[in-house]
Amino acid sequence: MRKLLKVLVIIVVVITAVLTYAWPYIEMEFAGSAHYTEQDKREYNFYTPDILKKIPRISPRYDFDFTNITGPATHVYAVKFYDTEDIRRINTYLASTGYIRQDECDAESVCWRGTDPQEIIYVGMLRGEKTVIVQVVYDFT
Amino acid sequence: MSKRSNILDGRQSHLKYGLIYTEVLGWIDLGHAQGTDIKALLRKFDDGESSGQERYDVSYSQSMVDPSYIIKTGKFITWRIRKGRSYSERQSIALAMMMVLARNFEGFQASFPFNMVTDSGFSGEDLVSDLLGFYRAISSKNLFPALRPVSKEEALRRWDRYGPIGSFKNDSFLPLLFPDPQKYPNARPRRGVLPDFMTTIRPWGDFHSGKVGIATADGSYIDSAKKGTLPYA
Repeated sequence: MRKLLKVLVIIVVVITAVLTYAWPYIEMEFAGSAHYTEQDKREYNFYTPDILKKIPRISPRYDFDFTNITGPATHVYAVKFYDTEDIRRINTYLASTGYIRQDECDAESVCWRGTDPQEIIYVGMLRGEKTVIVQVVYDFT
Repeated sequence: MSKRSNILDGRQSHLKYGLIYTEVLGWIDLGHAQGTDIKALLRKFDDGESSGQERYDVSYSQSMVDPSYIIKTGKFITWRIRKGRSYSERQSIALAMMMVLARNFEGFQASFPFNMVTDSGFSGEDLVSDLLGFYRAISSKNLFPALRPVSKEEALRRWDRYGPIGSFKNDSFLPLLFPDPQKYPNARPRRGVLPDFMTTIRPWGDFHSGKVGIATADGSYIDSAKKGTLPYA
């Protein structure tokens, strides 16, 4: 009887530990959107695509967004750099990594395509603010 | 699922994601309002018309992919088109396809198990944002100035007074408006009307003349997000 109780306690402890560890990941997996900084390690590592991890930090103040758009199945990953207008450095970096600048884009951004046909990167500014925004869009439709 | 933290200043309507409030259409989910899927749909009609076949199939789907790219799941419809549809007929058929499918998809999201994790099914802003996406896809003009987007502060004021937009269900393509609580302290949400430029195309309704037939009325699919092989997915 005692042995059985011990085994039961161990099972409960193990399940609790696994759930405690996994729960934030389960939450992130089901989240429709997230807003985080590079210091939020768990979110940063889970969501951020490599290209945004490597993109030059053109301002000391920056943060990230992730949005899962359901319907027109699309994921958008964005980084905003505050107090800067230095778009050139971002564009130079993208060109140096093999991205090709696209002629047809929306009116206000420069956009880039790499080898992944589902990926487009938009580099632009927030209107009325000194903020650069880089949006990485994956279109699964 | 729209959250308070997704709200942007109305000036940022050029972004690919986020939630803005407009005085004409109410809440707009910019992600839904891109119209990229509509442009792709209209290209399928162009391909069909130039294929030389007497009839061609056009599929339209709406779906979702989880953040880890494991599963893609959604709804699709396939309509059979008789060759010779004019440009305006194609737009009309495309609009009808979008309207039928968007309702199917929102219903799908509002059903088990998705309703366990999201209030997104028929969320107040979804269908009207889809419709805006349609008109953005067929228009070369920036439509936002005519919709009168409001500042972030004004949008937050509405969210805080009326609550999350996901709790207001809207299964029509008509706007749901939330009057400014500062100007109208006792106001309640009300139905708006679509601006004229969003009523110029009539959704196709003729299924008897043989020009448009239905091959798949209400399809569902689930597939691998990365290595999916379903043709419409």
